[in-house]
Amino acid sequence: MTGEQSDSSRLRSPICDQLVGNRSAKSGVLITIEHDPVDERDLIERARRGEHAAFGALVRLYQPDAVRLASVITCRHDEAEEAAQDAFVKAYISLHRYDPARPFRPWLLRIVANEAKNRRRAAGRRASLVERSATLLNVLGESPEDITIAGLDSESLVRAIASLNDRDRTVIGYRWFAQMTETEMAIAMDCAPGTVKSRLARAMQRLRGALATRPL
Amino acid sequence: MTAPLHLDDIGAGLASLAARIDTGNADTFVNGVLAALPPIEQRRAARHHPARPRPPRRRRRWSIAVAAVVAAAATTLAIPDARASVADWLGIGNVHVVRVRELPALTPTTTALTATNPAGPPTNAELATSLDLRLESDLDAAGKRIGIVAQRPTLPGLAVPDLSASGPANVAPQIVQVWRASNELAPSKAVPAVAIILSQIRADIAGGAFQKLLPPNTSFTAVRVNGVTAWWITGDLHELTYFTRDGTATEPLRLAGDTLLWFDAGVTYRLESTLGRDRSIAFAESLR
Repeated sequence: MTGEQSDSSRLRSPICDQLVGNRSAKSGVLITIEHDPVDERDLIERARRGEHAAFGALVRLYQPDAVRLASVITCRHDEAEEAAQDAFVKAYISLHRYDPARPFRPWLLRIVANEAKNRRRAAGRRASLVERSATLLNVLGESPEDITIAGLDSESLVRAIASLNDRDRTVIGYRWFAQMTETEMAIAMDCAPGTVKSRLARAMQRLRGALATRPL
Repeated sequence: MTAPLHLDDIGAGLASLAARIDTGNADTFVNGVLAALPPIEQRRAARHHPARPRPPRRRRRWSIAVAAVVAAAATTLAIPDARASVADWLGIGNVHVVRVRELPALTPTTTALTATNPAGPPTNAELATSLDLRLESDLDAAGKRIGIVAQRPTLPGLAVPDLSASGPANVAPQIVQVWRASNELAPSKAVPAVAIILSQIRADIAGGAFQKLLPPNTSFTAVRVNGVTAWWITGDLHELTYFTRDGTATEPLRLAGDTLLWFDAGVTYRLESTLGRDRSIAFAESLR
């Protein structure tokens, strides 16, 4: 777990893109962003009435989470952005099905995850995930962390992630790339919080297994 | 022997990895999404209809261009009614279907390209040229070159096409099989020398998209092909064009007849023929 992630690091603002820079690449700390629920509800309601600008604000709010989540599922950064965009369009079309009494973010990110999985399956015949992971690696900048986190380098980690099945990559994507809470994950995965814990634990074990078998 | 990795360390590595993913330019991303949003009327119509319009699947750049083309022809591309608006913009693999009130006029050049040769049946080369295709002597090799496994029908009498071809380099990666009109196969109204055109189009980011413009008297219904949803387009001739992924229309509009469209495992299948609905489905399900 990232011990650095604390309540004091939680920010409350709808202006997500300005905060992306606070996600420190140097320390590995991800700052959890809590969106103002009042603003979000207002944006959703206006978007449901057809106000594109309001939906645009929601897109801006969740774009980084959506792209990161789609990246880890598709293992292709270029496809991830397209999948995320398509998912937002689908979400807009389906806004009438969204229950305002429930959190919006897990509902939205579930659509993103499904779109990313569909794209990966569609492209699955052409390239293995391990091959595809190379394109994800290309967008990662050089970082001292490549060699300092428990001997883990980015390439090994990406290749290990790519070797997992869709379900494991999705649960890891929800937790570590979209920074969802277990409650949010339970909503997105339509299961009990306890099930989230066990699925995440199994996915992490399998990831550890994949890392253990990586070539030296 | 190294100590096993601690899960917390792996978590820290994942967090680090996530933090370093470039999420792109937010403005470009948002504008791309907004350009693809349907108007509210369409969204409302979709609530009351089982067929949900699908967003574009290819790059936003060309989808914006497609939208621009539609907008530019606003006088002819108006939505005829709420029911039609549901199918107003539907993406199947890399084929987009747009419902229009009237078809744009074909240019004389395009009309000439689809006409039969008055001197006699066109040669394969002439046919390929008229369809903007490149002749291929080995369909399997052509498919392998662009990453598609060539599928052939197993229906009696249709196992071997009269012409094998591939799409031009600047068009979607595709392989095409053509069967000529004969005593057994009725000629197409759109391309009279031809009865069947089977296209397998690789639906990925390397390609662009076909756009079909459907006039009011062309129906558009969902059918099943091997358990996969397919779309049967029939009625008046519709028009077909092609957009590269940067939004450039590279293929002239041409008329097209009854078509079965489906998408499977990263490949868009387009079967334009005079077989009728049931035989088209049988043809599609016989592909091996």
